[in-house]
Amino acid sequence: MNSFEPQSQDSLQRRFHQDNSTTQQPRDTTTPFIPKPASKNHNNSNSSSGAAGRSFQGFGLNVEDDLVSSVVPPVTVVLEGRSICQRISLDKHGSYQSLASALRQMFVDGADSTDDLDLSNAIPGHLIAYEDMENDLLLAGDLTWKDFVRVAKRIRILPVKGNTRQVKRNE
Amino acid sequence: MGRGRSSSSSSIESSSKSNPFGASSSTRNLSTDLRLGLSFGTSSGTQYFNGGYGYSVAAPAVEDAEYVAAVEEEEENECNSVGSFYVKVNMEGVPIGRKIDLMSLNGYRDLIRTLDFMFNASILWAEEEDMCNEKSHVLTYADKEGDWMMVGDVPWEMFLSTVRRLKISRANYHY
Repeated sequence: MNSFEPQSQDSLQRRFHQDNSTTQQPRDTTTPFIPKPASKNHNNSNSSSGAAGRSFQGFGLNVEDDLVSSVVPPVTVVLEGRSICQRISLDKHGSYQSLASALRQMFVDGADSTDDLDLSNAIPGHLIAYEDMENDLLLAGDLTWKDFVRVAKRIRILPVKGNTRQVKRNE
Repeated sequence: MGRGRSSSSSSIESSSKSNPFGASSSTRNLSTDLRLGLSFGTSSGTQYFNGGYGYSVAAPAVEDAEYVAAVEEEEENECNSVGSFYVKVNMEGVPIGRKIDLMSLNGYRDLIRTLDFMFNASILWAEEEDMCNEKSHVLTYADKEGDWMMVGDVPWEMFLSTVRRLKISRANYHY
């Protein structure tokens, strides 16, 4: 079922694009009530979801790109102790490992590619945490990647202090 | 309601008109992004609440609140639809919280075992209240009304329907 989620999101974005291009009031009045049941149907039916995704291809690519960039904004990355932040677009990465690689290149000087790279060793001596929409600080890695991209609003890189609990959590 | 609709339509038209000029100026590009964001928020709100039109006439602050609620509701729906139910867990004295998928667990013992591993702790829950007193932490949860309850007092299925958040507190009392 995870494989259908991106199609659902694409469908929602494209439907929004349709709303954007339509200016007639009669259609505007009816549109708000249709998407929700349609979305449910797409979630329930495999073929329907696939068809919906394909039928919307080719619609205003430029506008769609704008929509995508506004729907998933880049997030701020803060390294504890540094005053200058960096930004990263999570939608350009497909996994935690890809994010770990990007963070390593950002913050580790002379970093070479490592095969067994993951969040726990991306930046030596540091933990990768994030703030969600409720401003709670959480350790990155517990959610699926897609859920993480949806809820992470800021990434914080915190030093591991001499606390054995923190170290063990990464095992 | 009529005013609300015209306002929404006007916003959409404004977005459409500004698109051609987006590439020519960074200032206009920013403006475009802002408008698109607002339109998306309004659209999302109307999709999830029948009363959306009534509220759209009110102050923008209400729309913002509605948008936030819609996002949270969407998040809940998505989590439920894929067969997972993530809740936040915080341990007293540890600044970084965790998220745990309760749907992937088989019951209370599985939950305690998982949290013991996550936080490297020895956690007490209701069924063990009368047993050995060497455990240093107790597991509590916030229910729908925000009250903190001890984990294990109700059947697992009932617990799943009311839990919103978990907290591992230091056990202050002695047995």
